[in-house]
Amino acid sequence: MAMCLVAAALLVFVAVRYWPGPSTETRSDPTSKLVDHVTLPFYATGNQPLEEDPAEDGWETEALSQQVSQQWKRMGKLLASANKLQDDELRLLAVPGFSSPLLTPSLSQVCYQDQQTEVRRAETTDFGNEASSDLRTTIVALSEVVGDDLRFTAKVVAIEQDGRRAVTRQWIELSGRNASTVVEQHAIWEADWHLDANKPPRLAAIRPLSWSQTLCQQTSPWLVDCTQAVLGATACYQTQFQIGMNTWLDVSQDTRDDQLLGTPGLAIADVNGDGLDDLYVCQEWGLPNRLFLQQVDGTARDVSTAWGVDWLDASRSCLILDLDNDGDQDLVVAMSDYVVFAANRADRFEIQLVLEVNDPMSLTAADYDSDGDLDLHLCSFRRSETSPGNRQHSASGAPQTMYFNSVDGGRNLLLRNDISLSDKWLFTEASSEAGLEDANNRHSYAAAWEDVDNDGDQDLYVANDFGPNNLYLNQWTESGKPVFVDVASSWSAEDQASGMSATWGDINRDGAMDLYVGNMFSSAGQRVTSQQHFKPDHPKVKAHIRRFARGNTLFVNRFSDNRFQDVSQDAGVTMGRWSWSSVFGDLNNDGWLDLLVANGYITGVDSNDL
Amino acid sequence: MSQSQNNVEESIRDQYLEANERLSHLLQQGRSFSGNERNCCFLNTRDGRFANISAIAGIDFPDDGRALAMVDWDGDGDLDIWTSNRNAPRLRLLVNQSPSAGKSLTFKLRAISSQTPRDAIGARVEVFCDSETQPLIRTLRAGVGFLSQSTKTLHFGLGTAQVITSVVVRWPGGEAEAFSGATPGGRYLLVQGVGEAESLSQRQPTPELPAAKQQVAETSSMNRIALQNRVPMPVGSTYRDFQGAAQVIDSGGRPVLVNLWASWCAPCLKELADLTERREDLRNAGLRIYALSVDELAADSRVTDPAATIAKIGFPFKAGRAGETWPKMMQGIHNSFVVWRHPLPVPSSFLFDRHGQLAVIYKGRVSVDQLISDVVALDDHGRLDPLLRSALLPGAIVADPVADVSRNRWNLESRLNLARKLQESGRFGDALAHLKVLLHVATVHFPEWGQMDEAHFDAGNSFKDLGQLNEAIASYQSAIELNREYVEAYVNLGSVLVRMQRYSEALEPFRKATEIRPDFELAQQNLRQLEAFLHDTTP
Repeated sequence: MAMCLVAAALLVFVAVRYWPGPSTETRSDPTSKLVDHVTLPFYATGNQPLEEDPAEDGWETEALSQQVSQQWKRMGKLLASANKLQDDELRLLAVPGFSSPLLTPSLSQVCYQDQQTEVRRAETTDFGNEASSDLRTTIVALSEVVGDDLRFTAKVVAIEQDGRRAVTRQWIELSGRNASTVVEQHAIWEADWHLDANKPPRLAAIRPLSWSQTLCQQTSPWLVDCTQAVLGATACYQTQFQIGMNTWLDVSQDTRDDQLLGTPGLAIADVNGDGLDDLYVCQEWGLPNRLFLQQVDGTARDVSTAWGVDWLDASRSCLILDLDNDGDQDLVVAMSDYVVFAANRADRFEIQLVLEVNDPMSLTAADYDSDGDLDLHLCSFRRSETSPGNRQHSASGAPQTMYFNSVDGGRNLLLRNDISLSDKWLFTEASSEAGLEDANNRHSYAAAWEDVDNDGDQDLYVANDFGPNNLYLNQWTESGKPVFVDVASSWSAEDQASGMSATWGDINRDGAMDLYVGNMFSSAGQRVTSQQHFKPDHPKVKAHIRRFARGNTLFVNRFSDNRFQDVSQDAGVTMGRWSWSSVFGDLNNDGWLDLLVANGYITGVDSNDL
Repeated sequence: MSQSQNNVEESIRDQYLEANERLSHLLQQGRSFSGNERNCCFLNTRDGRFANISAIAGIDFPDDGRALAMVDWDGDGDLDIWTSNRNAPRLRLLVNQSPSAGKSLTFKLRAISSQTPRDAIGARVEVFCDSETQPLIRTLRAGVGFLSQSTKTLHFGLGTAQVITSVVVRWPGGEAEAFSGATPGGRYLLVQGVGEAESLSQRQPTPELPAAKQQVAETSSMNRIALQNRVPMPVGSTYRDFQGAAQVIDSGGRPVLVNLWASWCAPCLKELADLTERREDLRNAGLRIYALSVDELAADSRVTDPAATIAKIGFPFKAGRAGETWPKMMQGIHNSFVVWRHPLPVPSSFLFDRHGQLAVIYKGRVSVDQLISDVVALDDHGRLDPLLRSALLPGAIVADPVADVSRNRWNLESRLNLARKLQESGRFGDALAHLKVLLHVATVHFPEWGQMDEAHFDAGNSFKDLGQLNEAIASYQSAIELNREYVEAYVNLGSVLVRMQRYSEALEPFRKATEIRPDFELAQQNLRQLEAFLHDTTP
């Protein structure tokens, strides 16, 4: 999710000056009290440094939370050096009466097993009768389970302070390895802290609330980075792809705010028909998009220039597919203000059509009208600010947007493929006639087509930032036209949060397509919104805002009951962090769909992390 | 919704807007926000739940990941992953070396019916294994997740299944069709209407691709900013020669390079030596060079003698001390159009064209070859598309009239932004020059341009600040003509009329502004005070 994008839409840099009026000696000066420089509510000068002090925001607990996080880092260090624990170090972390059960339960359920991998889970009660132990015993025992190369992180998601005591809840990640096994644990702990003035908080107790552990007998990673072997011989590998957006922004003149985000969409397809999949990568303003053709040895050749697709225009997303049904793979690229359609001419792409659009994000394709050709859906994030009537300094005054229900986003487009009706490439905007205009004013990042109700046609889910998502069911009229109806609300699939991506897959093998929606998981958001004094009188608003920080959503499809069931928390998939793309795929060939999530918003020069 | 609920929502909205504004500031300064987050991988534990195996999978890179696409790139029967990222490395191919729990089965699809797209996007394939009554299902998709398209080859992991009993394709726009002939571990092409899976010639798996940690470049070698819209050299561009006499940076109708350097900076000395060595080439290119030392701006007070350094190098071009003002002005110009406003490094160089317009900024050392090629191309500026003349790496533009219009419109917007920045820093004349150009271009080529009213308004402000009040009035009136609800233009029009002592004429624009937006405090205040003033002074 990108808050700054909307911020950008709202900040209007208009300086309004009032000039002092007449200053004649002989009469009173009516304007002397007038200010010389007046700013609109959203005026910003842009340069003053802003230090964020959480304590100043009225959330003293945020300052405490930072101290708690520091103490967890200390715990991580102690875990990594458990064979030489010093008493004074332990005293800095915990009070003398500290107690905790052993943090790896002796009782646990094996819930997954194959030849190399085993997953176990335990609930609070599984720790119930464990003997309490002191901090040294706790740390030594935990570190013995996890082994070497130990990594420990704690994300504090709830905090309540009462005088000299505080209680926190945190998500724990712990991993390590020994000679024959890799261990990864995820747990939720509740912790009691003892607070003394001028001292960091000290642990008084840890209570595990949930626990899971995966053991894998293959000690090397499941996924290994072979990029250099594939791309290393291309010239652009070093000069373009080893340089991050932070560096490019130092020399980029694209001051449109979404440039900060970085939007390198990519598409995989067999562009030259040799049976090997190729790769096309979108790049931001001033950087050329790249087409890499895979060779038989798995390496890739950069043919962007030869194929005429090394476009510098600020690009976001692309699809490679057969648009004119001539048997080869054509190219569509959504750029910051237009979509380019190019036909495959065997050794190059030739532009056929460029359509003006507004702040495009993800592109998806399906034959929604079952006429035998592929139509496109294009998400649009922001509404254009430069078209008259959309700007903030007009009569409307403050923009009408609400964090959890914003309705001032861009208009998504359904582009009907009419190539077969014309002697040149033609795509007709059909959102309105197809019924997609309903709630088509949100900040949409991504859409995903699927036959949701197993009736043989293509339905559409749209993931929106700052509000509910859309589930458009394709329903045919009596005259044989497809019409979409948004049933997100009645099907309980609104997922009112910060939607970034959507992906479909039958995760439970019941024959109905289930849905995963990328959102954001914010520990800070959870900490603040879970507190009793956060909007105590407005439970609805509180619930809405809390929901925004919860993370990703997994919906199980119960289409025979016309609904989706949100199983995210039980399924253990909310913690996708600040998510962008998410995708299902069976990584270990066991017949069950696994899940990958890409994330991180903007990493800058500091290490500040929510 | 009840009134109180609305109030809460409005107050939240305000807090949210403020938070966003603060966030924007942080990001402009290059600060993190939810950065350093790592990608996640979840293993389906077959009970409706998942296990987080991000560490075991090894994809927990802090990449600011964006797109994710799946494909069996190396042809060994499992799914590999391409990711694209905001941070470097901006691409990763993650090859799947997971402990495989079974064979796989893959299908490419080809439709032939006129009712079905040839790519068969939307087709659902059902694979029945052993005695299972519930099939494995996959749908062929184009575009999933965010900004991502995975392979069109459908991949089925088979686990412990031994026998494929049936494969059914539900063709979009067509019927369900059963295919025979698929066995575990195979790859097939399913052609609509054929009914039998066609085995694809067994692709030899790619020789194992070696894994390697990617070596991210700390800084870009492309430290060059070719300005999209050139900016005049600030008035009063002077320096002091080593004797202490003030000198003007004078182009004399030729291109000029101003180099900021320090005698304690090794790359600077190397750069000065390069320039010295290639003096003839540079002179032949017609370039005037000023090497201005910023030794005295250094935080520590090392004793330095830039004059001696210059003498030792035998630097053949003009040299002196930059002083404080000129570098500050250049930092200001830099900040007015570059996304991130980091302090300029030493050395930094500034290439001006023969009209004294800043054309290129080099942050860090510039090679003489680059410099000469830029000097040669200086006069091409107007002939090139704004994107081509300012791109970060070589490439092409989308050659199409719609794209041309859009790029030129963006160029107008960026010129408008530049003019505003110049205005903010008090360079009203330079701002006005840009506004005049863009209003001319817009009027001729983009009469429907949505920000034309704003450009007139900004021109009005510049005229006003230059004391050209009649022109200011005309500009505000043009802005109002284009946007009848432009309250700021009404207010400033009224203010200028007040300044010209045309008090009664000023009433109307103030009134108009308050009518349009009753809660516009500034307009109300001005109107009240002007009315009081007129009341007091009217006999």
